[in-house]
Amino acid sequence: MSSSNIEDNVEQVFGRYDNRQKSAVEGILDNWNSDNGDFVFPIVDGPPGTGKTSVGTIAAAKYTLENKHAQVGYLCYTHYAVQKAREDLLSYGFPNDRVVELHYDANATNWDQGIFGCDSDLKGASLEEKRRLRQCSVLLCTLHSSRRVFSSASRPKVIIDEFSQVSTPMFFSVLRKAFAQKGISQGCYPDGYALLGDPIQLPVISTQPLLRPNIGVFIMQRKPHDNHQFVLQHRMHKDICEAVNQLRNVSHAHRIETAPEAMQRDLLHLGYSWSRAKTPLDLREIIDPTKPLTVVNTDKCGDDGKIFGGSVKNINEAKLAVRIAIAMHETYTDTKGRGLEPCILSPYSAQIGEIRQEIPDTLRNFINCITVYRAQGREYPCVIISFVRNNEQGYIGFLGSENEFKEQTYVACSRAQAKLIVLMSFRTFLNKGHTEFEALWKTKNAHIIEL
Amino acid sequence: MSRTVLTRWNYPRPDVLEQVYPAGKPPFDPFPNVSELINAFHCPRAIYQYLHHAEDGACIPRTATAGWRSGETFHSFIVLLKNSIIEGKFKLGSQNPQNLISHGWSLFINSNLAKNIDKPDVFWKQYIEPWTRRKASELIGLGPNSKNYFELTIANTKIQFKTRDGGIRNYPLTGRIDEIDINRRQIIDRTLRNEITPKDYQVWLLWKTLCSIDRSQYPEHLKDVDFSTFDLIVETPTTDTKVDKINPEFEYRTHDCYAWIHDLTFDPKAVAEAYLDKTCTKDNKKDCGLAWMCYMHKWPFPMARGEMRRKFKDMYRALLWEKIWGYDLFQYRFLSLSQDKLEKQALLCRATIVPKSQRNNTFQVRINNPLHAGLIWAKGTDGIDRFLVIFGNFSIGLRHRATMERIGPDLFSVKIEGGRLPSLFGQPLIATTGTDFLVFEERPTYLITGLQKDLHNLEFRGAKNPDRALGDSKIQILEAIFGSRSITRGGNENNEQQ
Repeated sequence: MSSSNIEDNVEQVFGRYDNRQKSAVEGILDNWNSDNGDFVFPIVDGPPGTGKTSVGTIAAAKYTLENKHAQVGYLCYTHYAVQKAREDLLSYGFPNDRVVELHYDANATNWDQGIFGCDSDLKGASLEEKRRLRQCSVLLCTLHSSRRVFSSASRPKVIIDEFSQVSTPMFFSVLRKAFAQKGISQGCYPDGYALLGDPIQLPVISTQPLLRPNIGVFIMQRKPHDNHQFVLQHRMHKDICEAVNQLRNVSHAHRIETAPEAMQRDLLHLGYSWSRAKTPLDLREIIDPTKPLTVVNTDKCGDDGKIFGGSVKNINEAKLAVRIAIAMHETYTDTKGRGLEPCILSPYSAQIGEIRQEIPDTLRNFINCITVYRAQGREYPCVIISFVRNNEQGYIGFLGSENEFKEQTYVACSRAQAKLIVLMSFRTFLNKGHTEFEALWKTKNAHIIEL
Repeated sequence: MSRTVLTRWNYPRPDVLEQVYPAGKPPFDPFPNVSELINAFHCPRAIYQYLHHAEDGACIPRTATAGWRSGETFHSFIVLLKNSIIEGKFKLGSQNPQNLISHGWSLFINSNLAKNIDKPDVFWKQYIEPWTRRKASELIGLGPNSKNYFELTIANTKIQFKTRDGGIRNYPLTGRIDEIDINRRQIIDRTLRNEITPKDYQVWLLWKTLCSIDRSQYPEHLKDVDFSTFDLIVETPTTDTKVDKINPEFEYRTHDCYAWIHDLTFDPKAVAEAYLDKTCTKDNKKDCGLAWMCYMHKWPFPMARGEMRRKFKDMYRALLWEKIWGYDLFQYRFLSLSQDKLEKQALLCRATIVPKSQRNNTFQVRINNPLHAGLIWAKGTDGIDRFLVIFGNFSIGLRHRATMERIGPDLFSVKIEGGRLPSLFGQPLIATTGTDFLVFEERPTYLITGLQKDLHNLEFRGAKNPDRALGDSKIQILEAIFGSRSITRGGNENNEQQ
């Protein structure tokens, strides 16, 4: 695809943006040294489904199209986020060899697929490979591997996605890597920085309170900063969005609104048809497509059990989650007759291990099952959340800690586009002071089911 | 540098050992490794660098002709050479062994095992050749009956050291032994330098640790070996030096080392004391691998460096505590709790190697407990895809970082990272009796230590020239975050109101 076609595609996407998104893109494109002497450092607060990664990739695309030989270093916390950003860029028409993922494994190199594996100093790279890297428009990699970007690129614009997981030391570690050993003499310092993320999504994991504030929060606490705030989400049905707003409200974050095209986005609206007759009787109410938000009381599943250094599982709740997922897969079909592929989420690895063992081999490719941490940045038509904890005392472990509860629940709920099924024990989570869960339970239009 | 001997080393209480959600200041002392003790032995300022994760610096200064950490390459080559001879893959006749080894060296330097060697020919002449010349007959004598164990990691929670007043203190310690030669009854530590201090202290500490381990923890085929009678050897390319095992000075100074480690971990005032007690000056530098850290030049820009350093100072200790919770507690746990308990809580998983499945550094294992199999599968796909694999046990064993990929309901493919894994089915080159081994979840402490190093390094970066500093976005972002420069978000401020 020619540059002009890429430009057209980028302009088309940019043209569909609302004013806040456009302003954020312009902020990222601005010179870091503003006319009035301020340091331009855009921080984009983008709640789920508001298109922050799209804004990041459009900004990267525009920057490289508008400036000859310019390069962007796109840094993410996870490999998955790197791949998503790369897919976005490829969808604008960039060829594979101009949008390259830098990988730590030298054996992973595949130029046709846009992957280059190397050590952090590019010591093993040939002159030809270095030349190819210099010709790339966007170099993507994880934050821990960011030295590869600074070894490969000349004066890149640095965009950091999902900054909620980026601790302050990690940000400064990236900055240190930008001080390449010969950086100053060669003048190859970054040509600007931007942070994209949702400050209340998955937090920095640390035993130390001092290390918990993410870099966005750290900077905003030090300096008054007017960030770019997105409010219009395009992912979730309005009822699911309402649940997310309840959780945002607990975190004192601004409300988000649902874009018109997503207002009525239930599974039928997404093009699935449902066979009510084929659905087991006891699950019909749970998987009914007209009830996008369903909260199921799992008190009867019995007490949770400990395993693997504190990770928790609940075998009966795992079985219930798998039954629901199988029923969803077998009774919902898309226009081509393919079964719906639901996703089961849980905050606990032990529960994920249990659920995976429960899923029949023949269905393993059709039912996703991952931890909430792994789910950040992803979206699914249907999400089933297993919160596992089930005890009379209302003990919910780390889910009850000051921040993590909100963030795990918030991220889990906001992955669903059209159907969200929450499995939780009411005796454990309600009336025990877990206000965030009560807010979720009280969500307008939430369909409450007692097993 | 004498320091008040600690009244006791604080070990984690039973409830802390089983604590699931640690937070804040650790209520127990760290679990030091031998390198940290060497740093403390060398200089208080060197152990202060412990906060910046310079744990292996003091005893490995750059040599004149070889790069940083090239001693590892010296040792790796010897391990590979000896292993290959013992396994029968490399036949060394009495005729011209030097030529054969020289050919092996050429193959080695082209592999990914050789690191930090800029001039392999010079390195060969200066280090490898003198060593092989000295050791030719020993190498020729190696064979199937040789019992050489390489890079065994040893650990114990309670090792006794005598105090000057006749008392005794217990401390924990872990370290890695370069080589144990059972037939020659030697414990060997290698270095490229001709100066054996502080390697003599290092090999002595390792020997103390090895002897302190309960015999029940020894692998079956080492149970009858009395390590207390072994010779301690510091091996350089040109000499072998025997270290005296009865060394009261080593005993006494060990208490100082532990005191420094304890104080620097918990008491910010100890940092100032370490500065005052340093054993060299800028004009009279000691031969120390950490001198570059102690005397690195600070540039005038960014001007906000002072504020940045103040903020970073707190972060170093927080990162250290994070590491203590993550890794040191992990060590205490595995050495203190019974294997049954650990297995029941799925803190460790047992696995059996599938016969004939080894292909270089990859082999297959069967996880015996189906619950653990599910869990490893979940962890493996959850971004925690690195595990610690131990052949042997936590007290004596060969430890490797590995990735694991599920290839069947209870079957996993294990890929060992770095180095070369010896044959798992040939001679017992590793300290395990069977094919049973333990899989532990890896604590990602290497990410924490990377942050410690980077923060510390950033403290010294900058520019001398004000114009250059003004044009450098890295320096200016530091001025903006820590200094007086204002930050703005960019873009069209009015756009959102439209």
